[in-house]
Amino acid sequence: MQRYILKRIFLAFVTIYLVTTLVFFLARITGDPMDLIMSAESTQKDWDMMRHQLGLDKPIYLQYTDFIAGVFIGNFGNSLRWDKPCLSLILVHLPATLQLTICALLFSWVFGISIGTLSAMRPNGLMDRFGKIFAMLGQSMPIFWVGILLILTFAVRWQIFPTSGRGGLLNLVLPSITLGWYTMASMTRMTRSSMLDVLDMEFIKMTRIKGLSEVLVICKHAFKNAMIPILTLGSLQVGILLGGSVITETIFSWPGMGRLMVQSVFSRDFPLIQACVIITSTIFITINLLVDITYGYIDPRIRYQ
Amino acid sequence: MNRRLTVIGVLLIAFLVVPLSSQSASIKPTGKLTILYSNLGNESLDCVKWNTGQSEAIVMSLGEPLVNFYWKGPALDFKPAIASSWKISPDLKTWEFTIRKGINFHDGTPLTVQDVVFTWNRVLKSPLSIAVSAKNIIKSVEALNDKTVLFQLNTPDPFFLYKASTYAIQPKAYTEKVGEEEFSKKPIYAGPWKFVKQLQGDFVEMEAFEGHYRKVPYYKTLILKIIPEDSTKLAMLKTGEADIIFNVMPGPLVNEIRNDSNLRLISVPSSNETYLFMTSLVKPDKVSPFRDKRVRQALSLAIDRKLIVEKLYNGLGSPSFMAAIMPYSPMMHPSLTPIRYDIKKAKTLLSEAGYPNGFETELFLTNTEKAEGEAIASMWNKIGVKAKITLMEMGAMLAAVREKTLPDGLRLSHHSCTPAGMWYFFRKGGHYTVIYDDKLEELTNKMATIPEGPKMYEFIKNEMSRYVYDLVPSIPLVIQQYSRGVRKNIETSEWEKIGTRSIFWVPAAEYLRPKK
Repeated sequence: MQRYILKRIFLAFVTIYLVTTLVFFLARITGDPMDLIMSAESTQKDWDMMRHQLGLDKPIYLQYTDFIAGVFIGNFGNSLRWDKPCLSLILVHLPATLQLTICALLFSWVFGISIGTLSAMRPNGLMDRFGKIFAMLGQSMPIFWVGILLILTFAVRWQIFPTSGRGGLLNLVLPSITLGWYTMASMTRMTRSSMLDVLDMEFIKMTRIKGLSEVLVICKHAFKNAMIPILTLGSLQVGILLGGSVITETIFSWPGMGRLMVQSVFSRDFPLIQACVIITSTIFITINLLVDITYGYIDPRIRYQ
Repeated sequence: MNRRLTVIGVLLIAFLVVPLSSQSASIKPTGKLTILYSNLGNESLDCVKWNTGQSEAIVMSLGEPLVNFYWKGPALDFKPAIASSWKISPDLKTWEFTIRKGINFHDGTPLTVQDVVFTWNRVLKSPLSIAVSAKNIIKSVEALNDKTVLFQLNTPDPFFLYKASTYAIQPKAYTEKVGEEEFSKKPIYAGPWKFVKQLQGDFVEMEAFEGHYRKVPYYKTLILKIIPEDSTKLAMLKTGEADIIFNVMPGPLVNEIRNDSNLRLISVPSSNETYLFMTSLVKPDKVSPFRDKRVRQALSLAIDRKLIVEKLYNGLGSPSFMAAIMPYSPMMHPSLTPIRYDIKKAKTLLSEAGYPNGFETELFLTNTEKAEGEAIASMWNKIGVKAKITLMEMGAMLAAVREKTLPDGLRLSHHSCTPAGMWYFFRKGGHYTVIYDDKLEELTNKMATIPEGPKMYEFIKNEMSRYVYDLVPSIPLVIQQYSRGVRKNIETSEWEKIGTRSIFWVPAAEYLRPKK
């Protein structure tokens, strides 16, 4: 197990390094940020001075080595647009994204697992049909459309929730539903099919014959055995939600990293694009690593040696 | 007797003072005002580092320049600000500004000539300064005495006041004490609003500066918030979470605001003209159909501007018929009439120019200009001109225009219908030049020897306007109106009266007040 963990940690580092390299070169394909920074009337002297200040006058391989060396000590350079250290900008915006992601994840898991389990208990029943429609809507409706619809209905028409911005708990409701509905749909379907498989197994029949209550059969015996695929999907959803937050944050004016990333792309802010992508992918890779390791502890049949 | 007089005197003073004090109490700043922007540029708090008009909204709310200018049309209206007056030498190369006494920065320290000299020397050193044109012509900035600052220029400049209005004055002592980096985080200026806090990419919060010499704001708190999504902006305005959408672009948002009884759409005059320039007219050796002015006239005649204003601008604009000169202004000769949409005449002109069946060309656009470009291309189809639309990303477009690498064709753009605009557009070699024409350049240079004002307008009217009208150096399309969505509980009469402060983006929120 230890060897496996070490191997996975090593592979995680390799992946992060590859992402770092890829984003460095991909960001530069978008064009020269100086085109957007400098005034049309700037002189060649102004251009040279600014290029030097930003380190863009160095050969690309030197820019790359400087960048890699910086990443190792947590120095992603200064944002070209805001003229502030990228890391400090991200640290200001990251909590908002994590807060939104966690709430959306909770919404997705709590509702997805509950509806999925209830659907599996009575296949083709009322809850199962409702769950199917709910999941189908979640999967098929674009996030930006759901967001705008929720704002118009619950914020503008009924004025129950605020339209946008970060603030109290009420501010979290609409963006969390918008972000979490898509993942909740797949969670509902996955829970349903996984539970149906387990509920059809001999040991479940045995627990029922023994006279255990249905609640105990479902919660204690069936659910635990149906958890592996649900856990896998749940961990993958963290990545989907972190990525999906870009749109949600823009619609709800949520001051998170997704919005920061969009703004940095539009202004060709290389250092900030790089920093945002590296930090997001590091979070994603770390969560995947933790989930892989957790498998071994949840399911005794899984042995990685 | 004396006692009686004293009592009467005290009572009189009391009668006078009570209403005065209650009046001053009534303008005590109160409440919160939230204004929404699609973006605020680089959101810099440093007066020499803002890089777009949008970012000027922040710095010019916090700070005060030497002179303020207001736009109500047809020309810029300059008003004394930190400079109470100014003198210009006959050769337009020496500008002397007298600094107003009694202006304090937000920390209470008085503003002096040294602060002005310090700020402008920073401007001259910064590669990011937006007034590059100012920077490149200034030879020196120095304090003549404790109330006068002298700007010496390398070349005559009749438009220097505009340049003097682009930088807010910052305190020398405070900046030197805390350093430039700290200053850019916690700036102090002398404008009507004090800095409170900022979250990059999200909002800037300011507070009324009650010691302001020009205008104490009515609102206590001002929040400039960035909301890129139109539907979110509208939702915030409808629910009262925001008070103003600062720039309502033509589109569905306009009708939504018009149809809501709690909201108003306020259109403000602008000097901004949408126009088409022909990329080859700034490349003297390039062979192009656009070299023939009859072709340019034909293309201009084949555009139905009224339809464009009605359908694409929601009526928020007016057809333009002069390149860089405001229609119906003192700068336009009264004999000149609007361009009539005339396909027949356009076809005749094209035939005379040797293109009876039209020709093929390219129309270079960014994504936001697509609808307008498509409308124009379809109108030109009727005279046989096939315009292929090429969409480009904004950064790539800016680079191509700057380096003059766009192939032969037309580019949709915007420019300012002011004499300063003409100075940029009609002289050879500039970044914004639309045509290389010897006579036009000669006239423009002659115009620039006259200080901006009625005499200059008279010269433009009599000597230039008919020539420009006939030459069609660029194809004029629409004079835009800027529109703002405002909640009805905001009193805007004072705000509307002043026109637009500085360039368009500055909110001038000190002139807004809550309705009683």
